[in-house]
Amino acid sequence: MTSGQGPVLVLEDVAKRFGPIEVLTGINLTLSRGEKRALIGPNGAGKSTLFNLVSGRFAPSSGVIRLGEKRIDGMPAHQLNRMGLSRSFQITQVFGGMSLYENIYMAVMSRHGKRWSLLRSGRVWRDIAEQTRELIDYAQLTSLADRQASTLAYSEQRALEICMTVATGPDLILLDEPTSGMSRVEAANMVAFIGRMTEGRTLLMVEHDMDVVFGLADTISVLSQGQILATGTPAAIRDDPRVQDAYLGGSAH
Amino acid sequence: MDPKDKATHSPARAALLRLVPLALLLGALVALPRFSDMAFLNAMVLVCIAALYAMGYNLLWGQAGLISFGHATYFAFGASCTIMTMAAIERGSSFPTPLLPLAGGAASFLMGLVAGWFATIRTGVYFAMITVAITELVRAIVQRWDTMFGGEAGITSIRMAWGPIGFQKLIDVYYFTLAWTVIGILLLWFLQRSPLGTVIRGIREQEERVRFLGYDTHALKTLVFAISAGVSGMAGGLLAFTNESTNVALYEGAYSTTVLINTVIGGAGVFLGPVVGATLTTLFGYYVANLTYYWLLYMGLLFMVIVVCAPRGISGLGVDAFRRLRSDAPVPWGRIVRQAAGWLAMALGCIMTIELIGAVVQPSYGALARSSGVAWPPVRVFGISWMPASPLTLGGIALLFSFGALMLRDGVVTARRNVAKLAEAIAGKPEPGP
Repeated sequence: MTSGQGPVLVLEDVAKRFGPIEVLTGINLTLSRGEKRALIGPNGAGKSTLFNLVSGRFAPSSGVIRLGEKRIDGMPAHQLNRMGLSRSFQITQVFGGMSLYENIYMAVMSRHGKRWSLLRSGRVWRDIAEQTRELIDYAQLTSLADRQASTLAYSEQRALEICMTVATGPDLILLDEPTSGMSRVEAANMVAFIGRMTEGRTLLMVEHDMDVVFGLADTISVLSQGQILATGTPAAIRDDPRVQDAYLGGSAH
Repeated sequence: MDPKDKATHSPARAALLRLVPLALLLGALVALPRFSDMAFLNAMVLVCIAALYAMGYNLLWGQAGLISFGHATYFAFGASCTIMTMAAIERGSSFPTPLLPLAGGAASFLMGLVAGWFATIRTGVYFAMITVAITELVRAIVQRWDTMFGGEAGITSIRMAWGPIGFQKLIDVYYFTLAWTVIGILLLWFLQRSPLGTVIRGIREQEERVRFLGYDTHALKTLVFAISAGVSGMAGGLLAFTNESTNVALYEGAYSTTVLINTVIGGAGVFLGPVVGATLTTLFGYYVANLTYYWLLYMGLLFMVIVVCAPRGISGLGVDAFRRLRSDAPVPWGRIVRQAAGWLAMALGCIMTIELIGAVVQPSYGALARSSGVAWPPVRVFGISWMPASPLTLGGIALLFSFGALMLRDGVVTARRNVAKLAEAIAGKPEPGP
């Protein structure tokens, strides 16, 4: 778990190369507690790679990543999750053969450190069941709890994905294009849903939809050609000529 | 059935519906020695062993989605370690005879921990290849290490009496094997129902998601591999106990294939599916091996037909039929009759072809032709003498195949779909790359 008043996430000079291709060069980024940061940038800017480095899918080629006080670059994903970092996926990854309840139950089990249990006895299992129910109620998915995940509608699966990400009890939540493939109405609902689910937590997200970005983020970082071009409030980013040049292309007036 | 009636089905009634047939089956197995001759009882001992082996194997496939091509190693190692323990008891060790399968199980579990750690680094085809490599490695070591594993001659020992139980009669061996098989299956059922079982199913469906929820999936897969190896080792131990001997031939690839075939035929997706497959193939061997020299060929054909036409195995077909019965959909009698007739014609055609060719290619047939002066002496199949070169015989076979193909023609599309699905299941999902 991260603690104290310092920043939740710090990246210092992080770079990633795949063979001869330099995807990220010298990324510096600091996320303070409770901040909601969006990462935007044109296709191929390295947003997904940056996400994969932070969430432990890959190790960076150089540089330092810190979660709270602890250095985490190169750590496996499951350990990062136990330290309070949880991510969602751009392509929905839910357990299709299980009920929505079981999907979230598994995430809550992990939060309580019950990762090898053969028996379901003792207080903690009552707590796990109770917290699973509470979370489903809070997410307003109660009526879908017993449905098999693969039979849920796409937007419901996306909501489940977010719910599972939150259910492991993270301090820092990473969302990878949470509204990709959704209609405008669905995306607007999703913004409200994410706002409710991530209340009081630190959020870092990659998103293409500018309405979603401006609806959720209080700061924005623009990534272009493997580097951070600018960081600031939505209004400042909107007015930054460099950003308009590189990404918005004058469409945001 | 009245739809309202179905709505009132309580969970308790559903559980009862499942438990009653199982209890009846178990009762029949317990009562079996009263009605069975020695030969069949012996076959049933082998059925139990094959069933437990297949159940252990299917923990990996059915639950974790990992298809091993080298499980003979753990089966055989369990047998070797059990026979060594039996030899130790003979020399005066106080190890209790009834716990012998646990010795084999524990040994294979430990071996599975090491092998599984390496194998589960990868998934899909790569996982399968590593299991083959490990099997060949172990086989090479074991076949050269005569002082330990007894070489071609193997190791022999005898079952020592324990307290009032002599373990000399076949009926003792039968009940012993049955008891341990039931214990092993209950253990696996308990594991499947446990929270850990849920996580294992999660790994099969979305391994990466499980990892990002904080679970160390590599460690979990290693554990599952080891448990699977351990149960297979228990089955191997039962074989050693029954035969009072083992030899290094057990380590060969054929024993890895048999368990895979049993699981496919029975169905990997249903909990007791492998038991169905193991029972069927073992009894098939018991009955058909007496009737024809080519029984393995028939088994291979049966395997191929099931892979192509019913990839979820016989238990999968059973589950589908049961669901259809409970739903309000009408039973498609026309299709069932048509397919049954088609398969029957195909089977008869295959048997005729195989038995005729099989008889003609034997050296004794050539000798008979020379001595009798007839170019194509008659061959007996189904108790009838057939002239192998007669247009009537050949035409009859052709007619059987044509009729079968006509009856089954609408199955081709389904078959193609099934094969594609199976290929995907074996290859696994593509691994995430940069």
